[in-house]
Amino acid sequence: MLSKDPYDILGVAPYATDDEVKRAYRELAKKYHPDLHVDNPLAELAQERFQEIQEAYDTVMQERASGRPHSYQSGGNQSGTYDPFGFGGSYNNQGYQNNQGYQNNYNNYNNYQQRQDQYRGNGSNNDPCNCCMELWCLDSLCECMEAI
Amino acid sequence: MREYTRYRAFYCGLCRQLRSSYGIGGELTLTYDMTFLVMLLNGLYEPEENRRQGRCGLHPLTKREFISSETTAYGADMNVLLAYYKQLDDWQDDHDPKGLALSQMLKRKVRRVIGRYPEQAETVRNCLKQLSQMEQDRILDPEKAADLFGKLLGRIFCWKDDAWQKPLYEMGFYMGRFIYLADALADLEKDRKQGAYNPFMEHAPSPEEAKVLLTTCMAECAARFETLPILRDVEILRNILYAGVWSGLPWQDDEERSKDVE
Repeated sequence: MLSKDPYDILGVAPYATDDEVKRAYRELAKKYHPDLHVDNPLAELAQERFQEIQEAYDTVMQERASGRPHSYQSGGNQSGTYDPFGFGGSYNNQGYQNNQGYQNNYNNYNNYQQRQDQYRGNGSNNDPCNCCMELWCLDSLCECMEAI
Repeated sequence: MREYTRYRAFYCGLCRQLRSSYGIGGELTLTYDMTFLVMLLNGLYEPEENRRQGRCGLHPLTKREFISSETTAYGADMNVLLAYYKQLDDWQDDHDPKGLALSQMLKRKVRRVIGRYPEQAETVRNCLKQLSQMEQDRILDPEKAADLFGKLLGRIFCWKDDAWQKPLYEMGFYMGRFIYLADALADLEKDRKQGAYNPFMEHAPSPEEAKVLLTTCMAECAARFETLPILRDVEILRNILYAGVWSGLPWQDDEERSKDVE
């Protein structure tokens, strides 16, 4: 359970973009990664900090994925994390057929379609190959393979 | 343009790794899916990249870039593992001589991979075995089959035992489902004509149903992807997840654009 606001732990504002959150996570993770503190007397502290950072990141990303607005009063790990694989120990919500799971699926589907339009819409701009019209043409006989 | 060349450089880097680690047998197993995994893990772990300019046997006229890293080595190992067990099944089921030849070429080296990644090896072997059995017994259960392939790819996506295991596994799982179902649906007509096994041969979904089925798989896959703290090459990876995987499939276009399909 987090006792601090996850955004404070990561050192970013609640309105930071996803990329900013990810960048902040990467920088902090690099600093406190256990592999870097093997012979360090402060290793235990670094490990705790690392875990805290990991949890904060997971909390923020899950919150954003589910479309819930960030309100820190609720705190900690929200229930309703969709886990069809019964994977991790911390994911103790077994009832993944509940509304939250359904809502997550619906959100995922919608988000996916929105991004699809983004990436397909720009298809012709990104397609460097005129001969085969394939975006990622790796056909060894295709001329476009020769052009760098 | 720059993004495309980086993807191709990873593809070429992977091919070169396969050639150097596994000889021609390895090179022949190259798939695009592994290039995606190589770039995905490369983006997540950001290992040091080895970049070189060179030429390759297939395209001797132009110089190209080869990028590789630790993740390339893993991708090559997984590629060969998959190819080996697949070819083994092909030989045992259909007595396809190509299958025997390839698996003999890779046998010794694959043992090393199996030793290094026993869990992946076991999952690949078991899933392919079960898929092969379903085919032998003519069991028509596309969901079960898709899940098997999903588990296979899900396990392959997990390179390290760390906090990213869960999202990576789930990404691989849903992508595996997509790949299996898309291939089965795309091959359905041809298989029907040839009387070949296809999990949809008795109950085929309508084009609309197929599109929803496949989109759901990729939507779940992409949702996990977006939770990963990836910055390096994220646009290439997104391009593949949201557009690239649909390349060559008939279910991508809306009514307006459907005139252009076929």
